[in-house]
Amino acid sequence: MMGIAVNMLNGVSYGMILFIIASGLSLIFGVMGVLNLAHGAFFVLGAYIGLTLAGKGWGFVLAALAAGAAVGLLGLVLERVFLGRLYKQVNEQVLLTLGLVYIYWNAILWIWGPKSHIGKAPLALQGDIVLTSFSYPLYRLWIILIGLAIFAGLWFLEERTRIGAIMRAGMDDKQMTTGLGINYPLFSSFVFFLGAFLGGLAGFLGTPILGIQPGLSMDILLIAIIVIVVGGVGHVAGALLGALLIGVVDAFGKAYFPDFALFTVYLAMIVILLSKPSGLLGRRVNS
Amino acid sequence: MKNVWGKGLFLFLCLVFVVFSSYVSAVPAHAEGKPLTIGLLLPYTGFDPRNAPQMEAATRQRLDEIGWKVGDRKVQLITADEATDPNVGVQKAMKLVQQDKADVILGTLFGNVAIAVAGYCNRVGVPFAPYIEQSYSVIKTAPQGALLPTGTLKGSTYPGGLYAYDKLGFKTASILYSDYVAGEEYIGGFVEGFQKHGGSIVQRQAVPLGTLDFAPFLTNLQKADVVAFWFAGTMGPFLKQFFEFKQGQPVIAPTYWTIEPEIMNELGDKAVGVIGTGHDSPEMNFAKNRQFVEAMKKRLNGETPNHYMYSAYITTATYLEAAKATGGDTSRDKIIKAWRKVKIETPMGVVSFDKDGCGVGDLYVFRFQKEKGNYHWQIVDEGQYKQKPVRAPSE
Repeated sequence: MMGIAVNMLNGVSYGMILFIIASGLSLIFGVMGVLNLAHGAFFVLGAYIGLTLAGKGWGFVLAALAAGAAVGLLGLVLERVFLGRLYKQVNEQVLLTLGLVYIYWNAILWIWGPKSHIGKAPLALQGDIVLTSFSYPLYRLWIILIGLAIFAGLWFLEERTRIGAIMRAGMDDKQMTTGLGINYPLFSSFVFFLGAFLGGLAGFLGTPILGIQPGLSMDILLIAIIVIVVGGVGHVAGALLGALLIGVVDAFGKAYFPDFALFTVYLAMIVILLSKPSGLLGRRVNS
Repeated sequence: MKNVWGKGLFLFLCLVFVVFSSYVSAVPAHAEGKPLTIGLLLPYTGFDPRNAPQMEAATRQRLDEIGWKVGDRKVQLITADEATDPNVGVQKAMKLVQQDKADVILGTLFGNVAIAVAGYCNRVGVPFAPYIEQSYSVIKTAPQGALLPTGTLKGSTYPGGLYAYDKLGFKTASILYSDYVAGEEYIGGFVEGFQKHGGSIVQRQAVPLGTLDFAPFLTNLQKADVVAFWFAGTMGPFLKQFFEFKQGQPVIAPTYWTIEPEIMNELGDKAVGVIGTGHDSPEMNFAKNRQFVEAMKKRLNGETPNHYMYSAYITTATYLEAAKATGGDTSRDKIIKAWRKVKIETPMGVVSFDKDGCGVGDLYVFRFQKEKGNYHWQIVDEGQYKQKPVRAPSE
C-alpha cells in the first residue's frame, strides 16, 4: 500500500514538471498552430539561466521568474523575427524550429560547457516530510503545489479574462477573431512569450529533481508532445490531465513493469488516441 | 579511320590511368610525405557530449609531447563527431578512412558505437582502439585489429565486487543499472566479483537509458547490505535522489569516476563513504602522473583531469609507441603486433597488453572522504589488483 502511495506521489510530482512545460507548448500550438520544436531547448535554457542566477546569489523564486522571463523574451524574438513570417507554412515552421534546436544546443555548450548540473531546492524546501509511515522529499511535494498554482493561474487567464476569451476565440476561428478588430499578431506574440516563459520556468523548477544537461532538450520535448497529444491541444486542463496521466503511468510502469518501462507511456498514448483522437480534453486546432 | 584512332587513344589513356592508380595504391602506408593520420571519433553532440573536448585535449597533449612526429613521419589528427550514434559513428569512420586516409581510428565513447566502428574497421583493415573501457565484444568483433588499452567494462569493476564482499563484509546487494550494454557489463563485473566468494544479489533493476527521475526505482528498492548502481550520464542525479529518499544502505558506484565531481561536492557529507573502483587519480603521487595533471590543468584552465582524459592520453600514447616501434609503418598487421607488445609507464602506471589486446594495468578501490574540509576520492585498497589484465574471469 505504501509503495502504491509513494509511486502515486512520484508520478504526480514528475507529472507537474511535465505539465508546466507542456502547458507552454500547448498554448503556442493551440493559439498559433505552431508546433514549436525548440520548446525543449527553452526548458534547457531556462534551467541553465536559472542555475547561473541562483549561483550568483539570486533567490530561488527570483531566479525562476528571471529564467522564465529571459526565455520568454528569446521566444518573443523568435516569433517576431522568424515565425511571424511563416504564417500557415507548417513545414517551414517545423524546419525552422528544428534548426533552432541545434543552434540553442550549441550556444548552451559554448556558454555553459557540456557539464550537467543539479539544482538546489530553496533551504525551506529541502529535506523530507513524514507522511503516515514513510518520509517523502519535501521539494517534490512543493512541485505539486507549485504546479497546481500555475494551473490555477492559467485556468483563470483562459476562462475568466478577456485575454483568455481572445485565446479561445482565436483557437476556434482566427479569421473571425481578427475581423472583430483584435490585433492577433500582437496577441500571438504575447502567447508565444507566455509559452516560452513556462518552458524556461519548468526547466529551472525541474533542476532539483531531474538535473540538467545540454542534451536533454529533445528528450523533454518528446515527452511534452506526448502529454499534449494525450491531454488535448490548446486547453490548459488538458495539459494538466495529460501530464498527470503520463507521469503516473511512467512511475508505475517503471516500478512494476520495469522491463516495459520505456513502452508504458507510448502504450497509454496509443490507447487514448484510439479512443479519443483529439486527446482527452482536446479541441480542434484552427490553423 | 578517325574513329579507330580516337578509340585507340581513349583505351590507351584508360590503361595508363589504371596502371598509375595501381601504382599509387601500392605505395607503402608510410610513403614519404604522407603524415601518420589519426582519425579521432568522439561524441561532440548527442546523449553525452560532456567529455569529448577534454578527451581531445588529452590526445593533443600527448601529441604535443612527442612534437607531432613519429620518427620522420609527421602526425596529423582529424576529428569527427560520432554523435553517440552507431550509424553516425560508422559513417564518420568511413569518411576518416576513405577520404582522410586515417591510419588508425581512436576514440568513441558509448559501447554500441564502439562495437559498430570496430566491425567497420575490421572489414577495411584499419586498427581501432576505443577510449575508456569497452565490452569485450569489441575485441570479439575485431580480433585482428582492435585493442582495449584500458580494459573491459566488466574487468574495471570486478575488483569493487570482490572488495565489497571480502573486505567490507557485505553479503547481499541490490543493483540498479542503465539498460544497455555498458550498464549491464559495468554492473556485471561488480556482480561477478561480489558473487565469487558467496555474495548474493537480491534485486536487479534495469533502468531505461535516459531516465532522469529515479523515484519509482528507489521506491521499489529492496533492502540489502549494499546498493550498487551504474547509469550512463546520470550517476550524480541518481545519488542525489537516493539520499533524498533516505534509503540508508551503503552505496557502491562501481566506477566512481562517472559521478560528476561537482555533484559529489554538492552532496558533501551525505556522500562520504561511497565506494568505487578506478584506474587513476590526480592525487597519485608519482612523476608521470604529476606531470600529466599539471599539463592538463594548464591546458584546461585549471581543470583537474578525469578518467576520460587519462584514458584518451594512454590510448594515444600506446598507439604512438607502437608506431615508433614499427618505424612509422602503420600497416595493420605490423602495427597491431607492435601495439600488443607495448609496455610503457603512463600517468595510470605501467600499461601493457595481454595476448588478446586487452589492457594490463592497475585498479584501485576508492572511498569518498572528507579531509580538512575538502572532499575527495581516497584510495583505500590498492593491493589486490596490480598489473593484471583488466578483464573479468568470465571474459
